[in-house]
Amino acid sequence: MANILEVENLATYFHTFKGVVKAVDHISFSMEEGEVLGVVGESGCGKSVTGFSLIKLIDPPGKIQADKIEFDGQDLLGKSEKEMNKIRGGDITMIFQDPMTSLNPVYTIEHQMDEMLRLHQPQLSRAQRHSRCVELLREVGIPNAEERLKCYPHQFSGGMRQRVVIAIALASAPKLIIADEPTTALDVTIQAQVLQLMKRLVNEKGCALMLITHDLAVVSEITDRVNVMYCGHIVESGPTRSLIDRPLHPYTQGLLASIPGNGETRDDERLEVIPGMVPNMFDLPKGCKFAPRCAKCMGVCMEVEPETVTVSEGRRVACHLYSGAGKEEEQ
Amino acid sequence: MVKTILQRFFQMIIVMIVVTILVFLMSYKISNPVYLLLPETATDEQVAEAMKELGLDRPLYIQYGIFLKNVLHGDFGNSYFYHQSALSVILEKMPATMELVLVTMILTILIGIPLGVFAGAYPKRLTSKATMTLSIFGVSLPSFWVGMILIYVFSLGLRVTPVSGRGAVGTILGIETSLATLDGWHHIILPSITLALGNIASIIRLTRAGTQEQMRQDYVKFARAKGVATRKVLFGHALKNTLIPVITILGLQLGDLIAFTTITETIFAWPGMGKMALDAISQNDRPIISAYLLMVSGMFILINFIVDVLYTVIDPRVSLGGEE
Repeated sequence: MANILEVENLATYFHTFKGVVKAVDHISFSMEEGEVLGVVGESGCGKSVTGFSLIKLIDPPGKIQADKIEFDGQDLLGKSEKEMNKIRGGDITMIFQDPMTSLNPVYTIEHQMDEMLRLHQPQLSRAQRHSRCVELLREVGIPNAEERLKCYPHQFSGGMRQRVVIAIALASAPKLIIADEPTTALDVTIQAQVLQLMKRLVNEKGCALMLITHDLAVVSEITDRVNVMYCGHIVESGPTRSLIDRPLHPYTQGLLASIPGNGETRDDERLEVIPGMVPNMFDLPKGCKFAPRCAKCMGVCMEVEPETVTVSEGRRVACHLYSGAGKEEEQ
Repeated sequence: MVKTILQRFFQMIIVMIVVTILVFLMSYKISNPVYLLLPETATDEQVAEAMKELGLDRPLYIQYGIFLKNVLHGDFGNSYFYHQSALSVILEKMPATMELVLVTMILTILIGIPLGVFAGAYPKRLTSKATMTLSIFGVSLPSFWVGMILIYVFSLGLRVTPVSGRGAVGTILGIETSLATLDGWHHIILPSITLALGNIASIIRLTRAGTQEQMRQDYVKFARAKGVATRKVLFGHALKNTLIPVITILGLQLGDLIAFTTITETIFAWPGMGKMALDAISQNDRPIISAYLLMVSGMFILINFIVDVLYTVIDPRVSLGGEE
C-alpha cells in the first residue's frame, strides 16, 4: 500500500531561556494508508510534540525543522498557515487526551461539530450539516443523538465527551487521525469501549491512525506497528506483534517487563522497573540517551550516539548492541 | 428560567425597599427643611407651626409611610429651588448624562475588549507591551486632570474641539440629545474620552488576563487542530470564555458612570445629573437628593440584574440559583 505519511529527519526544538530542548530530535518514519501506528514512550519523550509537529501546531519558542513531511503527496513543510488550516481538521484531525478540557464549555456540541463541517465541507447546507451531526453521534454510540446535540459539554460524562471528540475528528472524513493519549483520562472500562470504537471506526473508514500513548497494553490491542520513543528519538520500531514478542532495545524490554502479569513476571516475583528517570532535557547524556539507565550499557554507549539499523524485515532499532561498533566491543 | 427571573425580581423589590428606608432616614437626619423655608427671625412657635403644617411633627414611621406612598406615585416632592417636581428636574437632566454614559460605554467596549484580546494573545509583541504600558497610565491618571489636559491640548491648543458645554441638541425618539447633531458630537468627544480612559484601561487589563488564561486551555488547541483560523479562535472561542468577569466590571462601570459623572460634568460644564446632584446637596434640596439617590440605586440594581441574566446567556454552566 502507498504511504500516506512520510517524515524524514523531523526535529522540533524549543529555544527557551534556559537552553534548547530537543523535544523531537531527527526522527524519520512513515505510515501506510489505513495503518494504525502506535507511538509509545514515557512522559516527556516527545510523543505529543511529534503529533503536533505533523500539523505544524507548535507555538514559539518551538521550531520545526525537517527534510520532508509529506502527507498524501503534499509537502506540508512549504504550506502557509492558511493552507495548513485547510488540512488541520480536514485530512488530518486530532483527538486530545482530556475530553474534559478539549471541548469549549460555552458552546453546544452541535455548534462545535458544525464548526468542523462548515470549515471543511462548505458545500453542505445547514440541514445537511445537522443530519450529518446526528449521524456522527450515532456512529460513536451516543443515544438520543438529536437531543444530545443541543447539550453543552458539561452535561456529558468523560467517556461520552471523548466520543463527541471522536465524532468531531471523524466529521470531515480525514485520511489521518492523530490521537494523543485518547484513553489516558478515562477509567479502565470506558478505555476499552473507546478503544474498540476507535478501532472499528478506523477500519470502517479506512483512515490511518497515529495513536500516541504510554500504555503498551493499548498499543498491543489495536496497533499494526509501533514506534518506541525515548528523549526525542525513535529507539525502536516494528510490527506490533513481533516487537512485543521479541523486543530488541533494552528500553522496550524494560517497558514490557514493567507491565504486571506480562511475559516472565510471575505472581510471586517483584515487578521489574527501569531504574532511574528520564534525563533532564536541558542536559542530555552525550552518547545513547538511554545509556545511564541501561542494564546492558557498554563503553561505546556513553560516547557515541547509536545509528538506527534494520535488523530484520520491518524491524529497526537504534542500539549499539545491534550495530557494528557494539558487536565489535562485545567480542 | 422565568421562575428564577421572578425570584430575582422579588429580591430587587426588597433591596429597593431597604434603599428607600435608608434614603428616607438620611434625608430626615441631614437637617430640618423648616429652617430653610422660614426667615432667620422666626420664633419657636412659628417653627412648630410650620413643622405641623408640613407633617414633620408626626411619628417617623408615619412620615416614612407617606414618603413611600408618594414615591410609588412618582412624587418626590417639589424641589425647593427649581420650584418644580424633583422628578421632572431629574428627567430633564437625565438625557445629557445618559448620552455621555452611552458614548463612554461604547468607547470602552469597542476599544478595551479587542485591545485586551490582542495583548493577551500575543503578549510578546511590541504593540501589546505598548498597550499595557499605556493602560497603566489610563488606570492611574485622575480623570479631572485628564479632562483639563485634553481641554488644554485639543480645545485651547489645537482648537479642534469646543472647550465646554453640550452644544446644539436635536431630538431622537422624542428625547432631546446632543447625539442628534454634529455640533453635539463635537462637544461630547472630550468628556466621553475623559470618562472612558480609565475604564478602557481596566477592561484591557482584565480581558488580557482572561485571554492569556484561556489561550492555555486545551479547547483552544483543539479548535486550532480543527483548522479554525487564529482570529476566530480568539474572538469566537476564547473571548466568550473570558467575558464573565469583563461583563461584571462593565456593569459596575455603567452604574458608576451614571451616578458619578459629577467631576467630568463639572470640568466640561456638562448640564447633566452629576452637576445637578452636587448643587442639590450644597443647597440641601431634599426632594432632589432623595429622588436622585433612589434613581441611582434603582439603576444599580437593574444593571446588576441584567448582568446576572447575561451570565446565563454567556456561560451555560451558570444558573441563577434556581434548579435546572
